[in-house]
Amino acid sequence: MRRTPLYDREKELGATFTEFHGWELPLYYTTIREEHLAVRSSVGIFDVSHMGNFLISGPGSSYTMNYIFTNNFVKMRRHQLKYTHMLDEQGRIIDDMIGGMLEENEYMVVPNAAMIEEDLEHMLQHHRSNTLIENLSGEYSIIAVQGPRAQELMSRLTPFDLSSMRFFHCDYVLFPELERHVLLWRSGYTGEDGFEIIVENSLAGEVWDILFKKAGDDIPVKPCGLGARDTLRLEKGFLLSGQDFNRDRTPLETNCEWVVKWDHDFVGKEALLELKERGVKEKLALLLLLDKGVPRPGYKVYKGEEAVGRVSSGTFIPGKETGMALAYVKRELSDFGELLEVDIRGRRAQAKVVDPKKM
Amino acid sequence: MVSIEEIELREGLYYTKSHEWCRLEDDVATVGITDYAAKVMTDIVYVEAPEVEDVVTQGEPCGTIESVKAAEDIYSPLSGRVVEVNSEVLDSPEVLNSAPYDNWIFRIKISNRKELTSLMSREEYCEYLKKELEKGEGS
Repeated sequence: MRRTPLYDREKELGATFTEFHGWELPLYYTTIREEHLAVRSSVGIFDVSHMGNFLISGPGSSYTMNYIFTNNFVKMRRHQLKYTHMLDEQGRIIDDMIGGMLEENEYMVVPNAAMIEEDLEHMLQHHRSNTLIENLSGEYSIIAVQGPRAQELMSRLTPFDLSSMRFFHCDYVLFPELERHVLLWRSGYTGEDGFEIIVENSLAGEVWDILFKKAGDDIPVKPCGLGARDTLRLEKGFLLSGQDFNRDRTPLETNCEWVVKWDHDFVGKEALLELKERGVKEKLALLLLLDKGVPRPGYKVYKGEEAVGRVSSGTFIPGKETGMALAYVKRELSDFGELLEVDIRGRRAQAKVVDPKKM
Repeated sequence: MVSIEEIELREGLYYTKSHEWCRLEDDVATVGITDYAAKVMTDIVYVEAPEVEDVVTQGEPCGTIESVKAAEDIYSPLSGRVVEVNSEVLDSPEVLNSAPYDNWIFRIKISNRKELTSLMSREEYCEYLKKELEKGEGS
């Protein structure tokens, strides 16, 4: 199994590890609950170095970005980030990721760990001319600093005025301790404010140490594992690649039409337009359980006696103190407020379709 | 990572390979989950126990423990009829994390004392856990 440059530090902190697509990563350090709540109330620090890094550059790079991705990477400013989907010719999602314009004609995208090879193959197949696509996945580490006090903590690491960096923007900021500028993205996967520090592997350990040191006694900070990463993203209805889609779903079914910009040509556009006209049969709904029980992937969703869908992700959400799930359900039953039932090992638990923005 | 030194084991209890404990008084067995089970699961959020009058069979699932991470079955350590369920644990499942031996889940009137011979003593369970943990390390 592969380990990130932070493995020894994580072990030292008492992490319980798990296998995740060939990587040995912390599942939790103390408990998922404590880590989840730390991110909602203060700051949590995640090692997400398993995620990939592609650099797309050259005079044709913006055309390549726009042709490969559903979002529009031409109509954007330098240092802006965008969430996007990448589709196959049938309009099905291959992967989702955040892409940023680092400079004119230079973009970085961060694909999911399990999809690096497949994504790369797809990009090399569909890129436009005068574009260089580099896979730097083995060379960079990513540390995510997430929570309402993330800016306060990060401000102790850099003199850069972070209040001028808006969410979904990035910049190179000076870390005086390292005597280096590092790439800082203001983004994350928790629904909180936060930053993702993208550094060469050789600097990852030092950055990790400085973060904990600078938090001092007055900013409560916790190292967090994949367990909390999953409960945090699910509470906000964020998709997990390979779990909520696996080459079988389109952005129209995942409520992600907002990342599809129809003003440019992209791989899968034709098929997606056709599907849009025809209408989708199922939509992804975020369910909040009103009864006791924990929904898990594969559990069936009912409306009365009729089976109307299936859970793709589900867990117990600390803080909310109830189960939540992402489930594909019949389109006409996917509106906010709809009452459905989840079959939990033979027992029916009532669940409500909720608006992720209000969670 | 859970190590054998951190796991509390109590004398006077019977243990199962699926990490339940039980204590016998006359023909009534009091059942709970071991400290190992609690430490591995962490964050226990729901307990589904059998109901009073349910007939349970040794080694068969009769309830479920849900943590944030996963759902695990509770296997009945012995056969018999359920005579009592601890509603305190159902209402506050997190007590299983803090004090797994002080918070039993259900009690059964056992029907076959011979089944006791297939349960483990504290020492046997300790040896069993050591082997389990070694296996885990190697994987």
